[in-house]
Amino acid sequence: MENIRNFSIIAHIDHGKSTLADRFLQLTGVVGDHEFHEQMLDTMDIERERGITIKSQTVALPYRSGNGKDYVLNLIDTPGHADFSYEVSRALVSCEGALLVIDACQGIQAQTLANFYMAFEQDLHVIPVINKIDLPSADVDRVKAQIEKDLGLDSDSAVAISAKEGTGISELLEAIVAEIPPPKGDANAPLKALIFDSHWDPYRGTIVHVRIFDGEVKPSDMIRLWSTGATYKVEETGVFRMQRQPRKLLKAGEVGYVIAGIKTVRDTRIGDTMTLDSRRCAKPLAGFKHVKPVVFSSFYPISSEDYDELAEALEKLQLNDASLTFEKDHSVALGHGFRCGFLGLLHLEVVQERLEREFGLSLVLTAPSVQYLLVLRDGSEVMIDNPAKYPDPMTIRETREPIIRASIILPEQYLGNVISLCLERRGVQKNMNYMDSTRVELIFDLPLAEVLFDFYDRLKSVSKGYASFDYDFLEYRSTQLAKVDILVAGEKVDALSMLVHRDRAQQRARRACERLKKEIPRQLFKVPIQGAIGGKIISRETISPLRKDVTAKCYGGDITRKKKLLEKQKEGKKRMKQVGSVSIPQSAFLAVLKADDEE
Amino acid sequence: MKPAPTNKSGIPFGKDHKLLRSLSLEFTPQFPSDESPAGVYVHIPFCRTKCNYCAFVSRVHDSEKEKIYLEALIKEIRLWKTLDPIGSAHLDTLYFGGGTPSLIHTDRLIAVMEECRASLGLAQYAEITIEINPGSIGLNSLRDLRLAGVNRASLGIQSVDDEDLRLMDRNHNARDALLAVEQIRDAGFSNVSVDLIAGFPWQDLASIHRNLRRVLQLGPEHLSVYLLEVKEGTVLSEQIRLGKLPPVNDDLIADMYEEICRSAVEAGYTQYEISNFAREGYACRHNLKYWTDAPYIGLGVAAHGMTGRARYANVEDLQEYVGAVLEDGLPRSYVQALTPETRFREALIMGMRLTDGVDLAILGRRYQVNAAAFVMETAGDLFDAGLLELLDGRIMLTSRGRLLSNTVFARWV
Ligand SMILES: Nc1nc2c(ncn2[C@@H]2O[C@H](COP(=O)(O)OP(=O)(O)OP(=O)(O)O)[C@@H](O)[C@H]2O)c(=O)[nH]1
Ligand code: SF4
Ligand SMILES: [Mg+2]
Repeated sequence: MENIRNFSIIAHIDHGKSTLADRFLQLTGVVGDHEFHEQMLDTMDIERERGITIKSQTVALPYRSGNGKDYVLNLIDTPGHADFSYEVSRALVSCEGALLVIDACQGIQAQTLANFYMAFEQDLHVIPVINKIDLPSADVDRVKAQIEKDLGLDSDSAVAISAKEGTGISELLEAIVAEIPPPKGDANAPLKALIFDSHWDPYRGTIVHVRIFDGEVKPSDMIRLWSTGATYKVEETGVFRMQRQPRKLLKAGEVGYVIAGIKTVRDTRIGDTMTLDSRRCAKPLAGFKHVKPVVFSSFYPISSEDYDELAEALEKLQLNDASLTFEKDHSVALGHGFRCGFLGLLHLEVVQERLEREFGLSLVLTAPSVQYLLVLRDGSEVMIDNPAKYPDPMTIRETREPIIRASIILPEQYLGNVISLCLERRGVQKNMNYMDSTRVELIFDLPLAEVLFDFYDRLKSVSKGYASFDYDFLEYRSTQLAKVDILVAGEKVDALSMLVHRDRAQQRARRACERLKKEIPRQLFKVPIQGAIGGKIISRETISPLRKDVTAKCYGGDITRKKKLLEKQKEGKKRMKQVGSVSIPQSAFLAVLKADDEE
Repeated sequence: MKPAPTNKSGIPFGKDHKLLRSLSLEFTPQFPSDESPAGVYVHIPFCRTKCNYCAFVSRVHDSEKEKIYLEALIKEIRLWKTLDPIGSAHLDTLYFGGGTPSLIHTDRLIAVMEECRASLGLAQYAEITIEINPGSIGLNSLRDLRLAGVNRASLGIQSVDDEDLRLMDRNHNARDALLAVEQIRDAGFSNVSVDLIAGFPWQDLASIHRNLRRVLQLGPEHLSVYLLEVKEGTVLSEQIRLGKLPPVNDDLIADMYEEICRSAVEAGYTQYEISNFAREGYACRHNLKYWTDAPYIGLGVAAHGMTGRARYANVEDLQEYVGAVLEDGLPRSYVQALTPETRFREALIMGMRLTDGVDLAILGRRYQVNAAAFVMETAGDLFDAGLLELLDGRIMLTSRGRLLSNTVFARWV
């Protein structure tokens, strides 16, 4: 155990975690030069395309230190985006240390602080790492001062590196070995292992990712999962080396995987404790703080035959993403689907994209909503996140919406812009403190609903990318809510309804109508699109009827090509949702959800 | 007998109308028991230069290639003779299309014609059309063609506005076009058609109107009006993509189309098909083959044929074509067998392009199905939508329906 180091790489988004992991992989020889590509640990297509990490990834690095001893460094690369902070908190539970990467140009940002606090709460040894020192605008001294002031850490312990160019990486590896404590634990005690992640393998079933705290586990052991009491026979144990690498056993202090013929997705729970059936540990590990989804949207398959497939796909995704929740939902316009809960809009987008890519599904989504608390006239309280379940407004005494407390770190020259943005979003300023002579931390209470929609993008644009943002749920507060319905050709399309603040209703309804007008192809009839609250129309657009859809040209008898065009046209129509007499394409449903690009 | 009461769009009222009463779900079409006379299409894939909207199979002319190609064409005709897949049906139209057939040496065209007579039994009285581009042929050649039996000239004018022609990258101007008409008449052609294209991004209603008026002043027996389709891969589509030209405006094109139809009819032409107008008795017999479910042979690169039991297309590459034919093989890129059902559906779709539409009883008898029931089942709602109408047992497109014909036809593919 003495030669094991378990650590996470944590940072604000884009500060260079995955790039640093690349250098570790190369320097320890886990990947050879010809198999190497950038951000190796970002394995999903969507991660590679967006250049961000979404899933934490674990690798075991063999490392011979300058002192001649061999070590195993279990590294977990984590995502930086706030939506995925749950991934970070899980990773930290399996570690004794963390590398807190800080961009030498940007300095300490909101998620730097948020992630640092998480590591601090876990009692981890934190090594500050100042990255991107190769850049001309790098200011190592300034970042060191911030480390002292904002984090209360000794800046002499910081390691300055360039993950891109490989500068300082060997020093950092030495610092890991020297400073991060080896895992504690009793190899002879009964098995006590934490399930910190899992994923689905079509050939092997569930692959459970574990950190062993006590004891050991090996093939043919009977394991027992604490929360369900279910028992399984272990088929394989091993470690992650980019690929799975089987090992004879996993013992206290180690991080690896267990395959135990777990065929149904539902049987593993992230945060659960694994022990031996014949020799149980005395009590389970603390597990993880349960994260609650904050934004909800219903997912419907374009083709209703895909419903079962969607159900299965969601289960499989959930195995790999415990923060995703879903339950059955039904829409008059769209048929059967699922009401899904997410940690944020990026999370929602990621799940949608993965369902479409990895499972080949075509989906229609409803407008995302936060969860409102309604106090009814009869005194009862209900939580509502689905416009379809919104009761008769007459029965509601009071509506409350979730409020967050946001911390925004920004250079002072953008203060005016950022404050106006927050006020425009119904924010209430709580505090403002200068972190140093130029950087300010703003504390605002904001309605979560206002933050979910394009707030990040707007914040970025009003601060030229220099403001960073983090938040915690605060409380529910009284608000004025309206349910906006959208009518297409006079028929209410329930899947397009949304719950919005009364002051926003007009604007959102207008925008929805405009977008639908753009996306719904012209039909044989004039199609009015209306936004309404109750019976009152608050916005209106009209799609004029289609006039021209004709092939008027000479033939030479090539009917085959013409038929192909007609067939394509027919197929295209099949892929639209028929709502009353109107065919609505998937893109129309999606366009309504899109954040504002204009304004 | 009193006609059944109809509403504005011509759909019969009441469930008792005999067309609706005969609704039956049985649908097992049969091949027609006999075929109408067939046509021959010969593709000439050469042009002097390429127009910017052109997506036809055509390359810049060169006389060496012309010679090789025309020899190969003769060879293909002879191959047909030995295979004879159309059976005993006789041929009564021949159409030289392109490309620019008028660029080809007259003797060679005549040789092809003669070969069709000798090997395929092209009828003596056949309608023989040649497509001509202004500026590509002289009076003497026109006379030779006329004397050899070519009796219809189809002139690709496209526009009589020089600016239009320049923007289309056409290689002639308006004067060339007028001159061509004169010479065609001088050569003795009494059946002349002109082509016009409408819908270019720089055109407007007024320019189309002007254009059409001047074209009609030329007094053609026949007029074809094509609405521009911007095809991928053309210079024009690239110009639009790069923002050098505005995108086409479909509503405006619809207006142009309506304007053209109205003016042509006012000038005494009958619109007999979505894109075609003619003076009494001058409808194009060859093109009618496509619309009336008659077989046709396609010869040359990229030519298409329908034999009654199959559709085929020839390869698009000239070298490949020549190679195949010289090795005594048919130069097909595909041959697709037809089932009675696809033939029925195609007959319906193609027939509906005609202004008079399709006689459901005749079509039904021809394919041994209840055509009326089929139409009601698949497109009954389009009567209410004002796209289809029913008159004296024929269904046809309304004037609105003509502009939306693909929406209608998509029901039947
Ligand atoms: N110049 C320079 N660029 C770097 C360095 N390290 C990382 N980058 C760049 O910074 C960007 C973000 O790097 P990543 O490694 O993906 O950052 P990350 O922290 O993993 O990002 P998330 O996983 O999305 O939070 C990439 O374009 C890297 O090439 C460095 O040392 N110098
Ligand atoms: S004349 Fe006709 S075939 Fe030749 S390039 Fe122009 S459009 Fe194409
Ligand atoms: Mg990353």
